[in-house]
Amino acid sequence: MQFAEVIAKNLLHRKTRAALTMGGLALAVMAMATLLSVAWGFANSAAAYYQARNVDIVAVRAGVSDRLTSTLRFDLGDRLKALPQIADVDASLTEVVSIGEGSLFGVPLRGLNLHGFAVGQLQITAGKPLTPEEHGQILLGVELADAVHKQAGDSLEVEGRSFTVAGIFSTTNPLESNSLCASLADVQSLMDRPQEVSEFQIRVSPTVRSDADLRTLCQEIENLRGSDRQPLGLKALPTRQFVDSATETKLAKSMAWGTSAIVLVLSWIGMLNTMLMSVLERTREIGILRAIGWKRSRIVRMILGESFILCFAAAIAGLLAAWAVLSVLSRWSVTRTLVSPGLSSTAVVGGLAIVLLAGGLGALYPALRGANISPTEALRYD
Amino acid sequence: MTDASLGSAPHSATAAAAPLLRVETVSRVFDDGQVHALRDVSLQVRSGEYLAIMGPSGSGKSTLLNLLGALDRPTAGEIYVAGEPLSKHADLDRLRAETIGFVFQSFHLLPTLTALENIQIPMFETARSARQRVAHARELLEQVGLTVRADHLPAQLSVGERQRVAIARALANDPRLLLADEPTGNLDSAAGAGVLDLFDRLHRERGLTLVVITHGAEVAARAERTVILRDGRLQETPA
Repeated sequence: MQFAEVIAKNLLHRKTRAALTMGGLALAVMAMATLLSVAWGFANSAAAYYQARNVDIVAVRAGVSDRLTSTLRFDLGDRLKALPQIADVDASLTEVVSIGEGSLFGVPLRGLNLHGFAVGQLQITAGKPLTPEEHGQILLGVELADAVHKQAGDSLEVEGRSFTVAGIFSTTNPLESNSLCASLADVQSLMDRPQEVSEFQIRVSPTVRSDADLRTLCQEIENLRGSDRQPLGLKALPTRQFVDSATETKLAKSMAWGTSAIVLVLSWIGMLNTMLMSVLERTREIGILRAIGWKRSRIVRMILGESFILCFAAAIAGLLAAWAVLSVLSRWSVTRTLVSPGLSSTAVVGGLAIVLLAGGLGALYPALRGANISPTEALRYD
Repeated sequence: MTDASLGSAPHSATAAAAPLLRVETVSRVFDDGQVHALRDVSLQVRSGEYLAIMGPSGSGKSTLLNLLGALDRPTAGEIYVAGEPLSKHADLDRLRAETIGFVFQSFHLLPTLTALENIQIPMFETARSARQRVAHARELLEQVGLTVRADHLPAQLSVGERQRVAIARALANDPRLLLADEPTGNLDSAAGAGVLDLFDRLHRERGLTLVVITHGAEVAARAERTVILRDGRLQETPA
C-alpha cells in the first residue's frame, strides 16, 4: 500500500462530504475560468484582428476612456502618412449597434475605408465585396450571418436603417466573425459622425526595427501639431499595448481577477471548514496514528494531501465545466459576439493555481491542528 | 489459532537480564495539581518479562501505560527505556515506531483500511518499500491466523479478529516492548483466551517484553509478575 492510497481512502470514506466540497470548488473554478477566458479571449481576438492586418501601431483620440468610440478627423491620416517611418495608414470608425429590429444587441459595426489596406484582408465567401460606388451595402461575419439567418442579397436593419447584405466574410477570429462591416461613409452617415473615424491603423516602414523604435515613433505621433501649433491630440500605442490598455479589456480583466479573488477566499473558507471538520471527527484516529509512531509531518502531509486531491479534482471538473459553458455562450445569440469558445491558458493556469493555493491555505490550519493532537487526549476522545 | 512461528528470534540472554523499562519515582499530576494520577511510582521491567498491572478504575493504570509508551511525560521522576531516559530522547515518535507496540481495548483499527493495510500503517515510518510492507504484513497476518481475512475491513471482522489484527499491527516494526491496555476488555471469553494464548506465544517464542493492563485476574494469571496500582501508588508486587 502506498501513502497516497491511505489519503485516497480517507476521502472515499466520506464520499458525500468530499463530493459536496469538490462540487463547490468546481463551481468556483468554473466561474473564474469562464470569466478569465472571456476577458482574455476578448483581448486576444482584438489583438489578432490587428495582427492579421500587419498593424504595428493604433492611434486614437488622446484622453478618451472609450477608445472604440474615439473621435478623430479623417484627414489626420494624411499627416500620419507624411511621417517617413510610416509605410501605410488606414482608418476605421467602429460602433456597437443593434441589428435585426433590436433582436441582437452589442454587435460591432466597423466602417472601413474602401481604399485602405484593411478591407482587402476580408475573405468574402459568399456575395461580393463592398465598392465605393454602391451605398447601403453591408458585409456580415460568417457567425453573425448564421445567427441572424441572412445571406447575400438579403436586407438587414441596422440601427433602424435598412442595408443590403452584399456578402459574407469568413475569419477564424470569433470577435470579427460576429461583427459586420460597411463602408466608412455609410457608417459615418448612419451614426451621424461625418468625416470622423475612431482610430488609425498604422503599418511602419522597415526602418522601424525594435520595440524602442516603435515607442519612439508613437511618441513622435503624439507630438504632432497642427498649423495652429496646437497638438493634434493623438494617442499612439503598439498594437498589443493598445489592446491591453483598452478600457473594455481592462474592465473585463479586472472583473475576472476580482471574481477570482472572491473565489480564492470562498474556496479557502470552504476547504478550511471541510478539513477542520474532518480533523475533528478523526481526532482519535489521528491520535492512534501518532501513538503508533507517525510523525507530525506525516499527519500534515496526509491532511494536505487530502486537500490537494480534492482541489485538483475540483479544478479539473471546474475547467471542463467552464469549457462547456464557454462553448454554449459562444453559440448563444446574446453573448456570441463577446465570447470565444475554448479556455484561455490564463484561465487554466489561474484556475489550477488559485484553487490549489486556496486548498493549501485552507488545509494548513487543520493539518497543523491535526499534527498537534495529543495521543493521550485522542485515546480518551469519543 | 495458527501454528505459524511468531517471527523474530527471542532476544539474547544478556538482553533478557537487563531492565528494558526503569521507572524512577514518577509522578503525574493533572489539572494544575488538582489530580494526582501517579505518586512516586518506581518499577523495573526486565527485557523479555511478562508483567501485568492491575488496579481499580481511576487507579492510574492507563496513565502509567501512557508514560511507559512515551505518549505522555511525567510531572516528576524519570523513565528509562533500554537505559535511555525518555526526557532526553530526541525523537519519541521514532522510539514508539521502532521499539514499542500498542494494543488497545477498542482495537483502534482504521475503518477505511483492510486488515492487511492496517498492519502496514506503522511501517510507513520505516525504510521498507511498499512491496516489503505488504509481504511483512502478510507474514504477520499468518502468524495471528488471519490470512484469509487479509482483504476484510475491520467492520467485516469479529471483535476477536480485530484484536488479532491490532496485535499484528503492534508487531509490524518488530518492537521490543508490547503494551496492552485491557486487551480482552471488549472480547468474549473464547476470543479473550485466544488473544492471551497469542500473547503467551509472543512472549515465549519471540522473547517479547509484555506489559498488560487488566482488571481481570485470569489475564494477570498469564503474566510472570503482577503489580497493583491503587490511588496512583504501587501498593504491592506479589511474586
